[in-house]
Amino acid sequence: LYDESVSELERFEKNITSDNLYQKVSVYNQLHRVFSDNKLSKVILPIVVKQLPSDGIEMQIHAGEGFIKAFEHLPKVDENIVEESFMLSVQILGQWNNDVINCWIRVFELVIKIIDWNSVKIKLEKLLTHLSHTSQPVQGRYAAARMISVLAKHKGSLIEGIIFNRAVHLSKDFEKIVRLTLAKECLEVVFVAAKNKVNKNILFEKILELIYDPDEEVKLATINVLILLIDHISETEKREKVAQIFTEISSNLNEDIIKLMSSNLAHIILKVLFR
Amino acid sequence: MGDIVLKNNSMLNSFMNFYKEVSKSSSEEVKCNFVLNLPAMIKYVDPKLYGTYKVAFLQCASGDNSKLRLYWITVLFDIIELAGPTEINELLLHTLEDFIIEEKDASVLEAILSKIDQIYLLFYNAIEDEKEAASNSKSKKKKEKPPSFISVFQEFFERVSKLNQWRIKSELIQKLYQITVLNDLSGMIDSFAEFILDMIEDSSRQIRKEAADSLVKAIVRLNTIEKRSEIIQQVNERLCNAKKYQKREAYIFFCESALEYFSKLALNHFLLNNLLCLSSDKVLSIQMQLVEILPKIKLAIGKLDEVVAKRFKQAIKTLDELQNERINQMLIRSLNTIQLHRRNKQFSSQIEKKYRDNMLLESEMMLYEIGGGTLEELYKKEEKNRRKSQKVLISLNR
Repeated sequence: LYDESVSELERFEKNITSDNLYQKVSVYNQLHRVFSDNKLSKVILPIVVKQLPSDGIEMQIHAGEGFIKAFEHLPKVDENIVEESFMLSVQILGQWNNDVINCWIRVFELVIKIIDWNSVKIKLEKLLTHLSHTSQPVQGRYAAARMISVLAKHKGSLIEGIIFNRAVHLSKDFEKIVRLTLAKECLEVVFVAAKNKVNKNILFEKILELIYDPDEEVKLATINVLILLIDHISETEKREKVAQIFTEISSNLNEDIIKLMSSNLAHIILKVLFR
Repeated sequence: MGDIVLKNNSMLNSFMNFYKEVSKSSSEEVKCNFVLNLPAMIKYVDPKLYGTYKVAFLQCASGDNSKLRLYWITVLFDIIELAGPTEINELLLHTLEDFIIEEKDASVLEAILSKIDQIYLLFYNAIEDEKEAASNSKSKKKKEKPPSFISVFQEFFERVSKLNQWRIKSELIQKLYQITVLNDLSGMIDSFAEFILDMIEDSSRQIRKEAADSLVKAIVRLNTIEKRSEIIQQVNERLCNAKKYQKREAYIFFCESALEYFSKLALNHFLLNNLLCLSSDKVLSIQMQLVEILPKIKLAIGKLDEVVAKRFKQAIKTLDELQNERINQMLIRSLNTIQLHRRNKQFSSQIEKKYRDNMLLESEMMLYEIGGGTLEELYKKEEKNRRKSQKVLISLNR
């Protein structure tokens, strides 16, 4: 029961360390309150950081939603909290559950927008090299693909180098979900982010390879990427490669591909065949 | 259209073959894409493409999918413009007529409504062309029939008016008005007036106001006096003595609008007597609205003839005798305004002309009357006149 003699800090502390699921969740629902008070955050956040990685999926998702709410609603968050949150988010993202990844990728995005890039660049390069490695479980590679798309979206050409190379590496992943995630979320933003011509060419070749992916869903998502990227592709490449590819695709009998191609046909003809 | 980059057209041919397959697709979504892409394909790829896909395109108008029909009407006028006037033929008009008659989906009806004036013109011009062709030919003239498409439109308007949405009704009134002013009105005015009167009886306050205003503007554009008087009589019969106060309120809206557009003679002859009778209406809001437009009445009429002047005074007396505080306040304000107009006789003809020509707002006109100046000055002047107006009121009561 609510005890008025207990201070706010004591109440938060008692709830977050409780075995009762609802008491813990109540703290995560109030995380914006914790973040806005230095005294509270100094005590509560280290407890969260310590115990959340070993909590269950449900609790990690509740916590993720609390972090999202706090970062979205507070106009300014203390630097230490941002750093702690970053460390926690990459730790959770490496934990290999898709539902948790889908929730915590949003926390990661909110943190990446405000954190100092130089302080996290090396950590991220190491982590993404590790997560995207073929020996890692599929969820790790899935998380890596999603993290790269967030980084490309918010950091642009700063990702060129190791992180960019990991995107190229993931494009030939043997698991469909990784290639599909890459095609749906990552390829377009990474291509637009890249400024180096060599990098652009490398990625472009990978996109063209994925167009011939044996999986129809990956193929469809990549065709969509190619349509979205028409304005970013050089005239020479349009003439020499893209026009030919679209001509080939137009003879494909897959219904979803016909729908996609037919909805963009005039645009494709105009951009690819005319100058 | 830009230059084609490729040395040969083989790739373009592949795309065109694909588009051909798309046009024949049984998938509704692909058909939607066919329709949506057609204007750009005609514009950028081949101007003669409409001829190739005409049948497929026109068939989409009778598709089962409402989204497809919505897209069809959305692109129709772009395609007509690109395809050129020769493609506005019987087949197209017949398809369009069926499309309007059969459509029941609210979103598609709304889309048709947004283009109904263009559609009307399409039919109207086609009939005019037909008449011209007939008069030029040496063969015997056929007896002229009333255009059949009018009934298609009437039926469509009725269907749209039943969609009980304020926004749609408001657009309907505007479109109806646009259609009536598009030509000599001979075919549409009867049904327009009838329709507007139905709407006035059955709608929200704002719609009644808009409808009344449109009706006045349409009447002004009529060529024959007989027709005008017939419709105004109809308005008098259906609205002024109606049991529902909403209709009588609509009558005031009608008269208020008429004050700006009708001649003094028409106002005197048709409306003023009835309008002033509403001073003894049993509903307070009707009386309040009448008080509000008293200055406009006086301004529009100028010097009243003896009978109307008597009626005018009588109306003011009736309103004053109500002993209602709000009515009294409004009455003082209105008389104050009338007084202002009267005191500046040297400007009156000029002002009246300017007022009628430019439809100046009342406040602007009052500013003009006191020789320009700020609103503050106007209010000060008003305050001075307020006491004088009270005296006028007392004298009128005597």
